[in-house]
Amino acid sequence: MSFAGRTREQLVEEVAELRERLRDAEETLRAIREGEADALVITERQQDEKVYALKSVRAEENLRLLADAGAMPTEALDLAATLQRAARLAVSGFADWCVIDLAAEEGRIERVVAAHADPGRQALIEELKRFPPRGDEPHGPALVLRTGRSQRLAQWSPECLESVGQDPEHRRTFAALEPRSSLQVPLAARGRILGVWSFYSSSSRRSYDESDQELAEELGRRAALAIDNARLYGAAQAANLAKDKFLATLSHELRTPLTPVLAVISSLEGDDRLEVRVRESLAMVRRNVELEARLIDDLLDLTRIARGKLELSRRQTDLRLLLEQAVENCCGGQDMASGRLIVVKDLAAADFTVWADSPRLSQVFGNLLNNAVKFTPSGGTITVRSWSEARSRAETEGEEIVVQISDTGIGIRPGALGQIFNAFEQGDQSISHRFGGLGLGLAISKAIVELHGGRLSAESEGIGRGATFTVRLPVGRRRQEAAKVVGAERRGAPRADESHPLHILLAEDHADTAEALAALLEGLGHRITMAGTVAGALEAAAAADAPIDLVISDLGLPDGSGLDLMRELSRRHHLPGIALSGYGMEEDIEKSRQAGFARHLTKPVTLDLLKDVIDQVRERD
Amino acid sequence: MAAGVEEPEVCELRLYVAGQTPKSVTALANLTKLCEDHLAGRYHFEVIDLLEHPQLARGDQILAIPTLVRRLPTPVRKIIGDLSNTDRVLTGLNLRPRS
Repeated sequence: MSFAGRTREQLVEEVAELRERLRDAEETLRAIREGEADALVITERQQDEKVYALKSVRAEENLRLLADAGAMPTEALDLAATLQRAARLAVSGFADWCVIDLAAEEGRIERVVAAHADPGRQALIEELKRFPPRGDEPHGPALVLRTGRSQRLAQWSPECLESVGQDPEHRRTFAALEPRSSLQVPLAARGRILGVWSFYSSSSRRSYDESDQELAEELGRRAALAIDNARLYGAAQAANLAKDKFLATLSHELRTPLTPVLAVISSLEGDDRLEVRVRESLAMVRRNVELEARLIDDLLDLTRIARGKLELSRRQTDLRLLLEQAVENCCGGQDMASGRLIVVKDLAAADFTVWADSPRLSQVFGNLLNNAVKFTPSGGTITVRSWSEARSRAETEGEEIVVQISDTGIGIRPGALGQIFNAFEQGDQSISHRFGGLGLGLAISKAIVELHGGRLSAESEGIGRGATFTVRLPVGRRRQEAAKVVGAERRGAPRADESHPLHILLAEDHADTAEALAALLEGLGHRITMAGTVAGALEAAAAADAPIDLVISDLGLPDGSGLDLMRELSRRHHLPGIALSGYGMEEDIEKSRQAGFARHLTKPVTLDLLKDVIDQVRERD
Repeated sequence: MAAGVEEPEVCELRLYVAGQTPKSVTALANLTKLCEDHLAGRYHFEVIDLLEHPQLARGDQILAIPTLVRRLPTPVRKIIGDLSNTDRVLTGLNLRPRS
């Protein structure tokens, strides 16, 4: 079975159709269950002969069987479980035992299910799984699979039994199951034969007749629909995974070139020999590169949120300090200096402690403030207020802190208020042209606030009348411990301990990045040994005249993975390591950790961050 | 589209039954009333008795009776059962006034 031949459009169409079918099937089942409708059985033969059969195929028992089988498509998302269920259904009256074979690649046949009505004989029938039919056999499932026509054997004769089986052991197992009468029907959906369902009755049970055959065919069609649905669903999931992977790769590709740029700019900015004017231009370049990196981060965050994988690492956080800092970062710039905008702060006097992931919360306030700055014309005012109030929601007690950011900007159309928190949507199409941005910030902010157990809402009286964003966060549990912890990691004051330089092994194959990083690290007083491959790094570690203290490694090296390198280095030399990677998904971080890296940094990496992390790793060691 | 007046669109419906079972009779009565109340002048429906035309069941993939199929406007919609739950039928036929 392959989906490779289908275009994305075809797949989308098929999934839409699948959804329709699932809805119909659910509705059918509901109506039958609630007595509003009767299950209908019309067989192919009856159609041809214009004979109608309702409740006449066999007894009530069969009708119930079909009604139950009708449920298969709705629960079809797990293929193995569905087939198991279908088989159990069949052996609860219609058959004594049954097996389901599915067509696999290259003409092979897989025996996926074997079920027996008598639990005591389940072990025996499981044996049959060891003998899947061969594609070229002249009888049995292989024949049905080739012809697509059902087979009925009303009465098994000893000669029949003799002809079955690939070897004596197979034949013995089969005979021990005492087949008396059998039916084999194709599992066909959308013109393809997916497999064969074989029903057997044992001695003393019924002998299958034509109406049983029709019923079995109908069961086969429904099971095939279920199989088809499960596979489509699987394909849709695979497509989704591929999308995530694509985004991760894309962000890696976009990030990689930013690393050397940022590194070089940082070091040039600190170079006193350069003219002030040049350094100002450099600052501008850096801000824009950082903005670019932030957009890429947003895209990554969004894929995390979509998959419910955004995680918080919480600490006691002083919200007031965090807010002051966010305002300083975002509104301390040119707009304010030039008097374009006025910022009013009205923060509650007390320091408020929240149990929060401070970099993430900074991101939220940064997003909201940046929006306010972006959407407010000259002469406008941005007001940041905070206060505490008793929580209004009945289910939880306690206080919450309210942070409100209002502007006098372009406002939001009433009809658009509901959509602004959706990814990729800004209030108005024309806005994205005038102001740029992907419209991800609010979606991400809302998700972050909600992960903190809070709420983010927006109000606006309309176009041109400003907007107000309100964040509500529950107050931290241990207020007294509060005070000092702030979300300052990202910009923490550099405190490289230059009196204790390290010998760092830098494994990086991207020449520009390697050069730039080495220059920066040397600027901090460290000694650098460079390697561009896994082999080169291992060699350098073994041959170094002075012992190496730390390894910083890219993960994608030409002759292998940085993960392998780290495993070797920590085994041979007990080295601590820092991973540098363009990939920042949780799986990537987890893999790094398992390989022995103390930290995983996602490119581009700023000098400050690198310094901090080196210090942390050094302290930990 | 501007709110308010919409082009009256003709609704083409098919009710599948199998002889005069109580559920089929109920469904027909419910459908007649529903059309008059909510679709006056802009509907057309036919009743298909599968006792006489079993081959038609395959075309609309009828698995239970009675089943109402809205053939127009597209997309095709199915409502299964005796149509006694007016709300569900109206929602299914997309005749709910959108709020």
